Amino acid sequence: MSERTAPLAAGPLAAAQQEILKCPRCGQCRAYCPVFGELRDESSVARARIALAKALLEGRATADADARRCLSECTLCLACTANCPSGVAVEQVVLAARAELAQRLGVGTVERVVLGLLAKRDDLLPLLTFLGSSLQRLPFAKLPDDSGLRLRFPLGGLERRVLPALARRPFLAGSGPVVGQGERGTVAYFVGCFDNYVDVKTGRAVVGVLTHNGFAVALPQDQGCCGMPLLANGLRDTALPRLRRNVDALLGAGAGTMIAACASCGSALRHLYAPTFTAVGDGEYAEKAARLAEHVRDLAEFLAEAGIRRPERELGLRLTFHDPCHLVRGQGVKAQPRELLRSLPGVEFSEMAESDRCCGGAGTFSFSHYELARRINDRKVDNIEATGAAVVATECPGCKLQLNDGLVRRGLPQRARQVAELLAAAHGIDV
Amino acid sequence: MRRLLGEEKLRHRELDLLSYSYDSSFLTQTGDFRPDVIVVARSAADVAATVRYAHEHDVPVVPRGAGTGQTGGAVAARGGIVLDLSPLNRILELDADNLQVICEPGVVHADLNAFLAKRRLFFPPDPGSTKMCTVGGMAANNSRGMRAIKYGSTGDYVLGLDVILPSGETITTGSVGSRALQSSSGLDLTRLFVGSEGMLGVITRLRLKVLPLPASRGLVLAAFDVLEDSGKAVLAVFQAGVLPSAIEILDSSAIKAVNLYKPGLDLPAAEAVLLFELDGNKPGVAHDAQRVAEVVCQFTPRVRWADEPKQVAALWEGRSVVGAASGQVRPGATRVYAGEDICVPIARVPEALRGIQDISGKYETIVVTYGHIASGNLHAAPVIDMASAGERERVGYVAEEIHELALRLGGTVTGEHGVGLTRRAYMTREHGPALATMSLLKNALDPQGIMNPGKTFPE
Ligand SMILES: Cc1cc2nc3c(=O)[nH]c(=O)nc-3n(C[C@H](O)[C@H](O)[C@H](O)COP(=O)(O)OP(=O)(O)OC[C@H]3O[C@@H](n4cnc5c(N)ncnc54)[C@H](O)[C@@H]3O)c2cc1C
Ligand code: SF4
Ligand code: SF4
Repeated sequence: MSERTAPLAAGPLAAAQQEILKCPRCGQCRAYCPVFGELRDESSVARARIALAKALLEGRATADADARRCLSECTLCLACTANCPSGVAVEQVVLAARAELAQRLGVGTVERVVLGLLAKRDDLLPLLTFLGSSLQRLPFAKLPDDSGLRLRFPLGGLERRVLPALARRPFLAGSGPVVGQGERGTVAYFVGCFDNYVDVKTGRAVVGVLTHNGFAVALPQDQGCCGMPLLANGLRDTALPRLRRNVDALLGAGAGTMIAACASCGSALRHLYAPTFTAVGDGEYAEKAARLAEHVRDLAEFLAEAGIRRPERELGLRLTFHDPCHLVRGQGVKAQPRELLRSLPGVEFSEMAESDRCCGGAGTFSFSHYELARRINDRKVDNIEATGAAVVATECPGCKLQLNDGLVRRGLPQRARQVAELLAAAHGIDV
Repeated sequence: MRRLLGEEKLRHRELDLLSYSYDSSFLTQTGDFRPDVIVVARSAADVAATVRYAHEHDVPVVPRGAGTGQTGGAVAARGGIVLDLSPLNRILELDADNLQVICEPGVVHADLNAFLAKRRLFFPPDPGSTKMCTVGGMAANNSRGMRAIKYGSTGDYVLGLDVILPSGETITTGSVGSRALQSSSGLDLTRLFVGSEGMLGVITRLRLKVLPLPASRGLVLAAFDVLEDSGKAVLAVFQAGVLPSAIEILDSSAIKAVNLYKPGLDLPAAEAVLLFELDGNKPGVAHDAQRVAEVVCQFTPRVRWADEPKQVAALWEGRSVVGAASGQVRPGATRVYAGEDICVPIARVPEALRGIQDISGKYETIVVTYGHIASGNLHAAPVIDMASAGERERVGYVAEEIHELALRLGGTVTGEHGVGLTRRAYMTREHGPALATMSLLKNALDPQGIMNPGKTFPE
């Protein structure tokens, strides 16, 4: 008999066995997990997800709706991983377990609908997944400010969910392959679904700010969704072709640096692509993805390091900054956006408490677990309010949406904006 | 139970039973310790109702805080009910004038100290699990920590407890309604329940003594080429009339682990590194730190000291990361909690450290050791490949031999973590006839044996 314990299942979870076995159940994640912080039930904390993954692997737990709930109640915020004394990459275990359950149990209704559409338009898939639970026909009202966001009024309910309005034309459809002259070189911009289909103004702000600061911006046309919404929902195999096309599109753009202004996209490109290809045994793309990862930078990280031209406009704003999980922990970027924001004329910067605590957004999580996401968000909104800032800057469209949802729901005047939008305003760039 | 407590406080699905079947002990990772049901307590009344139910139906009931214990204390060894007390996490009253705080058992240690620090007070026991463990669990385990040499154990700060006895009846120890800081009245029941590991009753309220928060901290770091010199240096510091708030030792295995984990820290290569912490007012700390440095210089020239917060933190970092570092000395392996808490006479610490290294060699198992040298409490951290059945088996022998070593050196198998399921086998040898008296007390309070059965007493 072999001395080593062989996993029973040979599915996606088996690849995460080593991470699973690293956890001695010390419980430190109880202090950091935002989901546990709200639910305070042992089954809602990282170590329970690891214990479940182990039991699933060894055939001691049933792959059922409860298992799916436990694994789905994770915002992938990386707070446990960043603070785990045993170095367990919890998010890798959660993603592998979700993929395993998707294989064993099949995928949910929303995903099935979306998968049906896939055959025709794979570029729309992630967005549809993202908006999955909003596909129902519900009355909308436009928000009073010009944010392009709408309020949803569920019939008979009091809850109101801020939803984005779809752009009439995707950002990439209106742009050439390279924008600007580029006396300081060429960068490639990875747009991401949200800024491509919804918040095209932010996309324009990113390009505007980069070109204004002397960079030519390549916009590889074959780029699409970063794949995070698919991977997060256990649809790894569906995501793979998309991931490969992104790798090829970016590597083929002829740029030294790839810029993302969405923390989740950047984090996926830097840290998720290569392990995902490795897990499925695709060595060629694992190598390409690792090469790509070295050249990916977050927009604020890149500009803070490269330096920006002195902005002409006074913003006259009190600002605070929310660290997206996938920026601060996913990419280790914390000081750079603050440096940039503080350098803008007429900005008073006020640090918020727990600035790096998850806002509850987490992509599809805020739709599929609205109530839980709202509770996590409440604490964030309290912290924003306490700073007295008029604007909370951030570097992720998902966080922006979630923060605005919380602020609107609480009737507060503050709004969330992306760093690129604020930089564009300071540079006087019209988007 | 549904009628008594309401469905929302009960957990009984497969996932729930799994989630409450472990603590941080190696043992609970290798066996099946699922309860039949979990009660998530929202009030002391819930606890009382649960215990009364257990009493009437003769069902085991296991109190549980955060489940960070390393002995299997908080899991169901014989099925029954696990009682999750962590939601009872309110600080009920700060009586600053009388240097005490009243709180529920689920309050997390770090949260209590963050609350107290704003009032320049603190609750001195300081376990490494501060961010997650509960004060109820600390009292039940009589937890200690690095500063035990100066500040003692949790028990030294428990003034009184509300306890729900196995019969379901509630008592208050430490004099009903008292706010006195000390008392010699009656048998000391508070001390009886402290360290009773959930076997005598459930703690639902604690009255804790607090102290003024020291204004300043200083640190002395010394590296020794000869392990035995580190023991001599500790003794010499005591003889010089200085009482540090902590004296920590990293042996060569721990130094190696830290340097591998954080090469930037560059801990000196040595047989042992000692860290002396001094606390108090600023001039006093500077004076004591200098004094310690002078004394330690007689044994090694490699001594550094600091009393500026940033430098102190830098010197301390080696100690603060050693727990995390130990698990990562071997890629793909994990640090397990087994044989992790022996305590030996301080004069025999070097002997114990060499003994642990020998055991590590004998079983070809990496063991990283560090601990509180001033009280002789050593944390041995075996690092194994959990996927290897052979290594899982061998670590059992490693733990056994480490425990044997402690007893041979005139020590105890546990300095602060407790007995639970993992150290029952040594109780007869350690306590002799006293164990029968413990059993008598247990039977008097819990004749049915429903309260956390299967723990401490050998089967
Ligand atoms: C990384 C790490 C570092 C640690 N460092 C230290 C250290 O430095 N010093 C130290 O002493 N310990 C340490 N421990 C061990 C452990 O954290 C402590 O013993 C802690 O006090 C346990 O608290 P808990 O809330 O997790 O209790 P649990 O593990 O839930 O329970 C421990 C025991 O107490 C009983 N219990 C819990 N709550 C109650 C209650 N309200 N009434 C009656 N019985 C109850 C349980 O039945 C069980 O027997 C460490 C553990 C870890 C994982
Ligand atoms: S902090 Fe890490 S090792 Fe500890 S229980 Fe959580 S996942 Fe496991
Ligand atoms: S990633 Fe975040 S939400 Fe998920 S288990 Fe870890 S801390 Fe909790």
